[in-house]
Amino acid sequence: MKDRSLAAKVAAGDQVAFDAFFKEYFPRLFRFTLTRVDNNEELAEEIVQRTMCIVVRKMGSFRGEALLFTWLCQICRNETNAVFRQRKIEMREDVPIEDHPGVQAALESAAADDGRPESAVRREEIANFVRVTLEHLPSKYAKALELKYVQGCSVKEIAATLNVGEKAAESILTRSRVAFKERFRAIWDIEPNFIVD
Amino acid sequence: MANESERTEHTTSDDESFANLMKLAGERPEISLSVESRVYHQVQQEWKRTTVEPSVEKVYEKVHRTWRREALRGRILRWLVPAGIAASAVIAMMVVSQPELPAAQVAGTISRVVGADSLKSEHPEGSSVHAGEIISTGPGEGVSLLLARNESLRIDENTQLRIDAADQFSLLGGRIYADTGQFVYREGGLKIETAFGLVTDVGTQFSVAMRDDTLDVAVREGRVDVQNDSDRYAARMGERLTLTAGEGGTIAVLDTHDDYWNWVAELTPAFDMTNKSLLDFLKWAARETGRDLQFESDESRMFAMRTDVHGSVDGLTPEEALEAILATTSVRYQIADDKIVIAD
Repeated sequence: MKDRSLAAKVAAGDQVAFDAFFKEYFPRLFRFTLTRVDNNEELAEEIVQRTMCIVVRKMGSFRGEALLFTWLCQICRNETNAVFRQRKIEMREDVPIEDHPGVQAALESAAADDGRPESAVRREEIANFVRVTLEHLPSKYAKALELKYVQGCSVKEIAATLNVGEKAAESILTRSRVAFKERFRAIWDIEPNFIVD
Repeated sequence: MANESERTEHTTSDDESFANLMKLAGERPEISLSVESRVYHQVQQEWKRTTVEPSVEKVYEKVHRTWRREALRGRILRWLVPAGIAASAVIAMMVVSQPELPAAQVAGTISRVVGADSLKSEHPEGSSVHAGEIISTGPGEGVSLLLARNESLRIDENTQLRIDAADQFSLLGGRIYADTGQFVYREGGLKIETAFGLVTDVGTQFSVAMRDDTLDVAVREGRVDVQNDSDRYAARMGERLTLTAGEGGTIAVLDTHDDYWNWVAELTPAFDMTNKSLLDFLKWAARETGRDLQFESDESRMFAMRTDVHGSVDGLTPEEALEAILATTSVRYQIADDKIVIAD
């Protein structure tokens, strides 16, 4: 279902659309938030709940100028800041890093595994870049990439997990890789292969 | 060849880089069911509090106004078209001897056939049905059609149904059942012409039966209207309207899960499992059996939302499918009159 049509149905009170919206976006938003709160699940739960409550109230005003998830992330950033202010938690300056001016340098130094502690920190930052990018993909794409590259599943196993044929699974993988690179480039303004070559 | 080998090398290297990047991120963290169910519960409450549900009556009136306009246009066309055709025919006869007939409109596809081989070879599953066709079933036979907009039309035994258009049918005798979905999100419904008047729906589950001097309209969900030259009747969810020639109409109560609906189950189109969750499946089973779906806890609802269903339930009735699918999961279910209850 297209973002705008889904939003319109949720705003109109369609329970099926609400469930589809929650199923697609809750896990992505939760993981996106985890990367910004040092994996503190309680904080992430509070922020995501606040974010989604705002979004369902405003759903009728969604016009589809941006992706629904981009819109959710924007509200989530504001809510994260608000929760941090309320709880008097100091905002970290190095993560999240969309607007970090030295992102490219961080990525470069992180590519070298020289055993130094600061390199390990940078590697964790890059891992976060990848996780955030994955959450910007449709959940099926992120799942396909995780199955293939992290869990080492065969195309046949991926097809079975995604409940599609093998050809469809191959096609999903191809589209997932392209989508990942595009999103990575769009979010971080850098080619993904640059940081691991 | 050299280019091909370079491309392969580049692709392999690209894939390795990609794999390294993904491995760096590792597996995405699992989200606990209790966190998800708590957030779902809170967000859903907020959504229900702030969302104005569509007014059924308002939507119905809007749809009905459209129909009245269409009906008026139809009446005008009934006079104008024959006159126009007559005039055209005269002209055509003067110009060409054999005018070309327009191709018949595809109204839907056959999704299931029950009964004699002759009926199955006449209407093989997956074949199209067209405007102008008459589908006839004998004793013990039934046909299930999948119409445009994913609507389901099921034809009981001993029935004759003429397809007039993709959304318009004439019931010449026997019984049919239609499932046309959630009407508040649809533009218009089906029109079933009968000897007793026009039966119209605004998106619902209902059956129409015509036998001798009686018309029966039973409604499982939503609302259905019957209109003839002298009267207008409406039947709502859980009601059965009976019109008898010369006597007018009466309305009786009919449970949405009453045995009256049993014949419908055998002609239920198979549930398509592609990219569907257990929750999608349960909602389908509940709807097909005329029951509400109830979860004993938010956790069981979340489990259903998160779990994907696989395989096929082709050839099973909704209740058989429910038993077969839930046997492969950790949740239990119980059918209690008007609801299906899911428990951990």
